[in-house]
Parts: sequence; structure tokens; C-alpha cells
Amino acid sequence: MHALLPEQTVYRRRTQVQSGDWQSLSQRRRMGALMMAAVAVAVLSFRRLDYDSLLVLVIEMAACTLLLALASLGSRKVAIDRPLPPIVVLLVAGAISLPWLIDRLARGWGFGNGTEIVMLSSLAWGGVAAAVTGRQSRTIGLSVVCSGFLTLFTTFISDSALATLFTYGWGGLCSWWLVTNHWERVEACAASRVKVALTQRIVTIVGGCAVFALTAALFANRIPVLRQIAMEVMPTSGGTSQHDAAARSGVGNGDAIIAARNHASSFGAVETNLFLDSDQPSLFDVFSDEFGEPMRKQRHEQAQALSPDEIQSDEGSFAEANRSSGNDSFSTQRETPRKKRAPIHDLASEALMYWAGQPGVRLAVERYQLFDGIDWKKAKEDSIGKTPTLVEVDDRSWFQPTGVPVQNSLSPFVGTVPEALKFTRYREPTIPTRPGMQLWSIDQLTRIDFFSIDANHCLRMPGREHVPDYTVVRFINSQIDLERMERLLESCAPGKSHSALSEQCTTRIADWAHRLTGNKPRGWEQVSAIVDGVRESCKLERSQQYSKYASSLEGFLEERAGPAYMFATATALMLEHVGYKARLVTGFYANPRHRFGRDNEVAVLPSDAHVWVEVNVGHGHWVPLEPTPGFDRPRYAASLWYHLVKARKAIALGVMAMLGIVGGVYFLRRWLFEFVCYASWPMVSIFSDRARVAWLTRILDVRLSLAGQPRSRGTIPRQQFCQLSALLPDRLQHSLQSFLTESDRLWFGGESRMSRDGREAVQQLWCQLTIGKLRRRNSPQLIKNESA
Amino acid sequence: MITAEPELTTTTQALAHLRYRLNHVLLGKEECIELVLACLLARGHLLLDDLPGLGKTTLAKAIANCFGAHFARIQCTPDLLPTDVTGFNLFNQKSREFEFHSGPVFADILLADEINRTTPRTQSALFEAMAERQVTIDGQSRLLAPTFFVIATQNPIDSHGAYPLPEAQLDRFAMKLEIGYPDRQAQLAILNQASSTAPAESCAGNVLSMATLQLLQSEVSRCRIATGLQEYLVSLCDATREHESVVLGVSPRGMLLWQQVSKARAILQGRDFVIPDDIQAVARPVVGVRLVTRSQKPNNIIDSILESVEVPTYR
Repeated sequence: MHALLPEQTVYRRRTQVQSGDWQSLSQRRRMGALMMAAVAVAVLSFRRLDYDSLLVLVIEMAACTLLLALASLGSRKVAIDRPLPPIVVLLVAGAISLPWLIDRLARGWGFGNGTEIVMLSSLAWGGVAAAVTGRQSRTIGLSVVCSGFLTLFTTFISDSALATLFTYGWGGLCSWWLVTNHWERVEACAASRVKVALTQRIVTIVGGCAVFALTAALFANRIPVLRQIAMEVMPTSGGTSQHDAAARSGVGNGDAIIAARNHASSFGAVETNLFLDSDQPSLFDVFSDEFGEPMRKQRHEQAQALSPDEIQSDEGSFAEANRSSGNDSFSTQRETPRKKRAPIHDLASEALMYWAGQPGVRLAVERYQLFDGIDWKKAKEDSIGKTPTLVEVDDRSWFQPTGVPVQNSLSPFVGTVPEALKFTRYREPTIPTRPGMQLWSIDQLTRIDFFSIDANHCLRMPGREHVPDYTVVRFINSQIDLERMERLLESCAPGKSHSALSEQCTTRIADWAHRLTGNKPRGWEQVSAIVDGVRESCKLERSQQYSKYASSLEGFLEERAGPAYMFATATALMLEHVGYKARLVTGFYANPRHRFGRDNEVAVLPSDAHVWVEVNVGHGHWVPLEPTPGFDRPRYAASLWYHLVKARKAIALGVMAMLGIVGGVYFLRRWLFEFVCYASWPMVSIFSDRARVAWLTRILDVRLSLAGQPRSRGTIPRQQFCQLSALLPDRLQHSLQSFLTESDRLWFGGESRMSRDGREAVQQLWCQLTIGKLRRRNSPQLIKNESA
Repeated sequence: MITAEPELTTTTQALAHLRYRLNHVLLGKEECIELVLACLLARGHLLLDDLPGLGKTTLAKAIANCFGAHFARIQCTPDLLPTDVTGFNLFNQKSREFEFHSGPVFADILLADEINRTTPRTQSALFEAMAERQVTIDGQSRLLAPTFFVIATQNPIDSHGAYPLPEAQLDRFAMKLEIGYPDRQAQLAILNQASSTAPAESCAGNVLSMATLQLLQSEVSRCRIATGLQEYLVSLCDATREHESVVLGVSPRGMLLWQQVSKARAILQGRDFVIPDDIQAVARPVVGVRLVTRSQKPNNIIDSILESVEVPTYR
């Protein structure tokens, strides 16, 4: 009789269910608020990373997290209707006041924040504290308000566009939080129209975020009032700054530099204290700071190296050197740099010029072709300058180089790229340019005698001490076509040889060059092998000294370490040895990390002074090479087909490797899946009961599929698993039954929690009901045998 | 804390006694009896489509006896009139008034034996009674018993002179069952039982009262069914309507009855919520009675639909 009686435990008191639901809902609210508070802390940390010490940040986060974790533990031990114990209150107060204490300590170490940032930090941790210790829904709501204000405000004062992502993240979480907290109410109000489905919630939130983002993108910047509010909301030292770092730091009124930065043709900012008060280094100083001053030569050394009529007095030489770096030579024998590279505090105040164009390019100032073992010198014909040609394009005056070959079928340059250079503290009459320059122009300037181009394609402003401040030079440049360059390099004329090198250097250069080029065919493969070899086998050491060697070159070849000009020198010499014409180029590297402002212009700093190599590809064209590690290689354009052909071996290897991996994964799929299941079990403890059941069902389905008996769409899990359970060990049978019963209650019976037995059953099935057991148990022959 | 409600526990014990009694009346047909009880608790009506002599009448009588219900039987023949079923008003010459003489439809449990032998006119007399639990005679509606339960039988063979039930009539039945022949063991038990006492005697004494039956039926109405399962039901019903071999699929009334019978099965299984097993377990008898197919057997179509529609799982 009793066997016919159904189980009694299926009937539950409704009050128990409702109580469980309420607790679950409260926990969900708390978790949501905590996640939003975490986003607020993250966005504030992201903002502080720009200038604050990472160590200070980590210490603050670790200490506050620890205090609040303890406070959370303490608050959970007290009934919800009782007030928080004093120790918890103290811990929370400690977490909120800790940013102030750490800030005081950080100031002693040379860091520290503004008061407003410390206040924001306190607010952020207060939000976290409200989320983890809040006893009432209004406290948790307060946490959401705090995190929301903090996220929006911090995003607003951030310079990085990435900060916006945090706002979107917070918005998504907040929507999710609101939906999950109030969905039941919505469902009750419109039961006939609301379908409770996870996908629908996600679609609602994603759709809402998309509409919000689209609306913001379309309208936010077009409504004058909103724009004005955005401009005025941040306190500055004067004027509207549009989030400008210089203005916020109290330098000048900010307007001029913004005008100069945002409008390429602006000549404003002349009266700005920033520029009037700051020092303006010459290019000689810039290179001396970066690479060290050239060593003074003994008079008899000069006599050996130069002809008598080229010998100058020290006075004249230093006067020239101090006036400009535009000497005829670049020495590789240099002192140790005078000062260590200081951290960059403000890109705007330190920039020599701004490059509005492709980041990572090299802007050439001087080019040297002859090397005497110590100094690089220009060719004699360099002094002959050519005036450019004036052309009118779209009612605008452009200058075209006359001595420089333009684009044709024998040129490696293709396409047009509009770029611009804006000078602020540059002290040289030479305009830095990149190879492939086709046209240039300066507003309201039409006289061709303002410019001169020497045989090395350096663009100068003769008769001027330097390019006037706030001059904006627009360029129409070209890209380098890799396919054409390869073709030209195959048949380019051989370069000269440097007879002034010592025999030892010549031998080592030759050995190294031959070792790098090997049996590679003449052309780009040889050139790139040399450049790659130098990049990979040598180490960039800015202050490397070669005092114990006869020359810097010998030292570099021995030590395989040195500053950028030694890399360039060695590369140029090797290229010339294997039959290519190469030259040393000094100038600036438009460092992509120095991108600045909304237009992503690159601030070119004195520390961006750089030396590299150009190789002649024939027909008067030179293309840059970057032998120094740590600097981006020049970008060469090439078709997709070219890249595919070049990478055919790598692609074939990749395909084979992929096939191997896929094959390996296929053959080991059962083992791998079991390993992942077993390894993932510890993480399951953070899942809710429903999530555990859902994941275990997925896992069992996959195991059944891997065991060769996939469950069809219409088969109920209980049916399939009950068939299996007949031949499983008793404990697994029991676990399976318990799991199915508990899961039914959880998913269809309105229960909110599983029993202890159910959780243990989940663990057993997760880790022990392996594919091997299912396969063995499902084998028809085995079933037949075991039944017999 | 899990607590069983006392009255429900009593009810489930009573249900177990009921099962026990019925299983002794109709031997070897536990599954069939489970479905009959589900139909009864779901307040549906039952069509037994089977050969003569398989215990249809015995089962109906046994159910009535177990509940102490008023049982009536109609032997449907071609000359049976609607008033023979519903009752009629007769003019009393003495009192000069019409007096109502109630028909068998006013019983708690009505057995309409070989319903396909009577004319469609008489068959349709049961329409209102089965659907609305009332009959209208001479413009006056009269309510039937709240537990009114029709067990109709029909003989699948010997269809000469029979009137197949129209679709509208079929749709008013909750399910159609085929009892089938008992197995060998059950037949031996039947012989032994017949030689000792009459089957009806084993049902002597009421196991449940009609009030308890009403309580159980109200429990069925309160049984919980998740939204996902309701969506599953809708998908299944849509699939029957869209199936290429089906002329007439499950109507909304059929869908409601399917849900109700599933709930009844859940109660019989000792649950207060429906699981997918309940829906699939009653699919054949519930859908089979109202599915009009082209050539395939309804059960094959139902199986294929159950296979193709994705069942809600724990995800």
C-alpha cells in the first residue's frame, strides 16, 4: 500500500516559498549594487592611472577591500532587523576615510591627488560599503545612486574616450538591476503581454543601451545648451577648457592652446604664459640631451680626419653647434647623456611640434651619407638648394619639390595622405618631413623663395633662424608600396664603400652582413634580413659607453648594445657592404604613445629625437628603415594578395597546426571535457542553485552526446536519465533521482533553493557521472549481458 | 522547512485506496486506470474505444461505486431519442402542470454504451451536457451534477449501421482510451476472481465521497504549471495544426483540456506542479481523440510531434 503512496515532500507551504524568493531577491539587489559600485571604483582608478602611482592605487584598493570584506562578514552575522555592530561601523568608517590617510602618505612619497579626487575615492568606497553592509533597500539604492554619480562624473572629467565604456557598462548593469528587481511587478501588471525569458531581458537591455548610445551620438553634441554645459561643468583656471589637461593644471587660460590644437590654421596662443615662460631648446640641445654631446676632438685627430681647409677653430665650431644642429656631421663618439630621461608631465607644455597624421612615422631633419669611422657627414652637393614650384590646387597655393622625384611607375610611393605639422617650440629652420612628400603649404604663403630643398630632400626655410612658432605646415604625402619597393630594390645601383673604417670593423660588418643575408636573393629580403637581424640581436641602451674600444662602432659591434644612432650606423654600413646605398637620418619619431587631445595628434617631444636609416631603391627614391628595437617599423602598403603570398608558409603551417589541434581536440574530446568539468567544479560554488542545475543539465547532455547517445529535442531528460540509471552504481542512481526531483521542484515547482541532498547530488553527478560510465552503461551488448 | 498539508496527505492516501480498488476490478490495467482517474479529476469526459467484453461497463460501475455516486447507463441504439437521454416534461392532468421527468444525464456518472450506434441527433443531445454541465429542455436550463462524468464507449469493428461521432462531439471528450486485452497473468486472475466472488463486490463500500472528489478536482485547478510548460503546450498544439498529415489539429478547448489532464496527472503522481512528463504522458489519449488525420495513425503523428518540439529542460 505504501509503495503506491506518492511522495509527501512535494507539497510546500507558500509562505516558505515566498520567503525564499524574497531573500533571493534581496541578495540579487545587493549583488547588482555591488557590481555597479565596483564599476565606479574601476572608472575612478582608470582616471587616476593617468597620473597617480600604481602602487598607491593598489595599496588603497587592497586595504579598503579588506576592511569592507570584514565589515560584510560582520554584518551578516547580525539579524537583519538589528542595527549594525559598532565594529562594522568602525570598519566602514575606516574604509571611507582611508583614501585621505593614504593620500597624506603618498604626498610624502612624491605622489598624491587633488582634494576632489580623494573625495571621489571616499564616495566610491562609501558606495561599496553601502552595497555590502546595507540592511534596507533604501541603503542599497543609495549605493546605486553613489556609483551612478561617480561613474558619470568621472567619465565626464576623463580625457580618455575609453572611460565612456565604463559608463555604458554601468548603464547596462543598472538596467539589468532595475529589470531583475521589478520584473515580477511588470509581469503581474501585464501578464498577457510579458514573456518571462532570459533572452528577452537581454534584448530589452541591449536595445535600450543601443537606443541610448545612438541618441547620444546623434544629439548630444549638436544641442548648444548641452555642449555649453559640458564645456562649463569642469572648473578651470580661466575660460572654457573642453577638458584640456593644461588648462586644468592651471597653466594659462587654456583657450589659446586649445585654439592652436583644435584648429590647424590657428596662430593663436602667442600670449600664453605657457610658451613665453618655457625654455625653447635648440635641436643641438635636443640631440645632446637624448644621445649625449659629441666628444671634443683633439686637434691632431681633426688634422688626421679632415683636410686643412676644413679645420675650424673650437670657437667657431661650438658657436655653430650651439646655434643649430644643422652641422655637416653627426658624430657617433658621444658623451653620456647629460640627464636621465625624465617622466613626461604634460605633453602640451613639452611638445616641440604636433604631428597631425599617421602616428609612428619618422620626420627627417638631416640626412648624412658619408661615414669616416666616427662622424657621419653630408655629401658636398647638399649645400646646393633648389626652390620649389608653386602649384594651385583647389584655390590653394601648394609647393612642389623640384629636385625630388614625384610618383611614377619607377617610384615606390603611391597614394595621397593629407597630414600636417604644427610648430610650437621648434628652434630650427629645417621643416621635418617624411619620405614621399608630394606637396606642402602654409596658409597665406605664396612665395617660393621661402623654401629650399637640398639634394638630400631636406626642406629648409633659408634666411630664417627657425620656423616661426605656431606655423602650420600642411603636407600631401604618399605611402610606400611594398611591392614596388621590392621590385626596385632588386635592380638598384650598388652603394659606395667606406674606406675609412678600420680593418677590424670592416671585417666584422662584412661577416655580420653575410651571416644575416645568407643565400637570400638580392632585394627586399636581404634588406629586411639585415634590419631584422639588427633589431633582434642588439639591445637598445641609451647611455651605453664604448670608452674601452677604439671607436663607438667597434664597441657596438662587440657589445651588441647601444643608442639608436649606432643601430642606424651599423645597419647602413651592412647595407652598403652588401650593395645598397644607405644614409643616416636624424629627426623625430612621432611616438604613438604621445597621442594628444580629441584629434589624436601626436605631440613630438625632445625625447622623441631619433636616428634611423634610409635605403636607396633607385631612381632617386629613398625609403626609411627602422633598425632600432622599440620603435615601430615604417608602414608599407601592400595588397592582400601580396601578404597572402608572403605568408603562404606561415598560413600552411598555421592550417596544419590548426588541423593538428582540431584533430587532437577531437580525439581527446571526452578526456578534455571531463577535465574541464572536473576543474570547473570549485567555481560552481558561486552559482545559484538554478544555475548549477542548468549547467549540470548542459554537461549531462554533452556527455550523452559524446557517449554516442544524444538526447533528442523532444525527449525529457528524466526519461533518458532514468533509462541510464538502471545500470549505474547505487549511489549514482540515488544522486540522479535526487537531482531530477530537486530540479523539477526548482524549475517547475516554484522553489527557490535546493536541499542539501540535491546539492550533493549535483556535485556527484558533475564530477563522477563520466562519459566512460555512460558509454559503458549504454553499450547494448553490455546491457544485454548485465541483464542476463 | 518542508511541511505536508494534512488534508492533502489524507487525500493522497484515499487516492491510493481508490487505485487499489479499481486495479482489483480491472486487472492488469494500471496505466489505463491512472488515465481514467486523471480524466475524472480533470473534470473531463472519457471515450472508451474498444471491443466488447473488455470491462468498460465494469470500470464505469466500479468508479461510481467507489465514490458512492449516482450511476446511470444508456444503451445507445438507433431508435434512442434525445429525450431518453435528457428527460422530458410531461403534462400532469391532475395538477394541470408540466412535470419534469429527468433522464439519465442527471446522474453523477453516465455510461453511454456504444454511443456510435445512436443517431447524430441523440448524440448531439449530449453536447450541452458535456460542455456546460447543463441541459435545456423546453427553454429551461437545468444544471447537472458538478461532478458529472460521461464514459462513452464505441466499438471500432462492426461499423455497419453506426454513426461515427462528429468532430464537435469528439472535441468535448477529454481523452480516448483503448483498454485492450489483459495479459495472460491478468486473465488467470480474472478467472480465479470470477470463481470466488463477483468483481463488483470487491468495490463494496465507498472509498471516497463525492465531496472528496470535488476537493480533488479543485486541487487540480490549483496545481501549478510553469510558463515554460504552457509555452510548450502551445508549441505542441501549433505543431498538430501545422502537421502535413493532420486535417484537424488540437483546438483551444482541447489545449485547455490537455493542460487540465496534465495537472490531474501531476496530482495523481503526488506533485502540486506539472512537469514535462505529465504533458507527454497524457498526449496520446488527449490529442488522439480530437486529431483528424489523412492516412497515418494518430499515435504515430503524436509521437513524431513530441519528438520534434523542444521540451523545456532545466536551462
